[in-house]
Amino acid sequence: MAQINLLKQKTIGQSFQAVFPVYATRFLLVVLLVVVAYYVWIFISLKKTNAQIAETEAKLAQNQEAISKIQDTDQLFARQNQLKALEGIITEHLYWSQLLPEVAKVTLKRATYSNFAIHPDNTLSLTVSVPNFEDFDKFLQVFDIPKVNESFSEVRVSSFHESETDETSVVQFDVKMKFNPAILEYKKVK
Amino acid sequence: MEANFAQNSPKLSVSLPSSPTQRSIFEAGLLVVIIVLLYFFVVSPKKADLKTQTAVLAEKKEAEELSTKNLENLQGLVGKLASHKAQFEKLDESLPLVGKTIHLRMLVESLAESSGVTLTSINVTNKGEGVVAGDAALIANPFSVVRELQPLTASVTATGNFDQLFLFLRKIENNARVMNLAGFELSGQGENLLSMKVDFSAYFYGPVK
Repeated sequence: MAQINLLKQKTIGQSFQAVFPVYATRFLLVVLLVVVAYYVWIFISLKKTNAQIAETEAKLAQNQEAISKIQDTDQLFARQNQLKALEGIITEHLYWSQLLPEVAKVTLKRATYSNFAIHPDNTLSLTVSVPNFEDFDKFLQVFDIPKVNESFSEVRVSSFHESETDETSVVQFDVKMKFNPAILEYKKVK
Repeated sequence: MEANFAQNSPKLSVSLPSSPTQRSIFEAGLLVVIIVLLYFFVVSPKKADLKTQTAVLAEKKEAEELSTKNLENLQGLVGKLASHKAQFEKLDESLPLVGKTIHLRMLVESLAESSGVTLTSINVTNKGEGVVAGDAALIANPFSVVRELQPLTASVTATGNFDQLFLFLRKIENNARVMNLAGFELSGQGENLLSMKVDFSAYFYGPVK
């Protein structure tokens, strides 16, 4: 049967209790020193940072003074803004003359226009004359062709009448239609 | 009569731990208190200061770098101003710095003449037209005034055959001075003669009134 030396165990327990507070104190002393060192480091870093801020501010002020001393900056900014404004109006620039050949392409050879107006709401007003009602119908049928309809749509006839001059009869009518605004956009001449 | 101070004086006694173990425990407790107080009331505020100032420094450095870059760019661009006179002439032709209606009128007349059309009416308006010449401040420094894009509106009626009017229209559209059409009407005037009315806007980058 194994014997337990209770006396020896008691001695170890007692010595640990006696030594632990001493080591804990030493450890805490080291922690205190570390905290103090950390404070010193923070203090020095703060001083350095403040010095760097002052230096940067001085450099910033120096740059701003140099910028204010540059001659012709007014002209430079005015030119830049002028160019920007020009770019803005160029993007809005449309080529209305491109609409005339497009209209000519979809017009019957026997039809003539006596009035032609393009409006800013992308509509077109025409006063058209054709020899007879058959041509009037043909004129309108053209706009039902899908390819033509892509460019000109929603054709409305506001009025029409037949008149006779020098033994020839003429059917005259007013037409309003929408056109595709893409027609007015810039096209590079090939 | 003699006073017995030794007997009457109270005994001043501080109860310090007697054993070394107890003293060590007391010292450890004291150190913990000191460390905690030192950290929270001295180190921590300073640490917060450092953090704030570091952020300020980063901000200032960024601003300084940007300003240095801007200064270099500005110096480079101002240096190029003098060598781009031809481009500025073109720019001024497209978007003049003055909004004189007479200039636009003369331009339209020259376009009509070169197209072979006859102008029957021409009306150019500048809503904000003020001093048109002799502005001392503007003469002294034409670029220091605040400027903005301003329109001139024009309504022109011309007669001619289709080809001439078409050419006139193309010249208005393709002119170096940007003119944006707002309305267009073409009507018959007789044998091979048409009348065309165009409304358009031209622009200038003039001083704000």
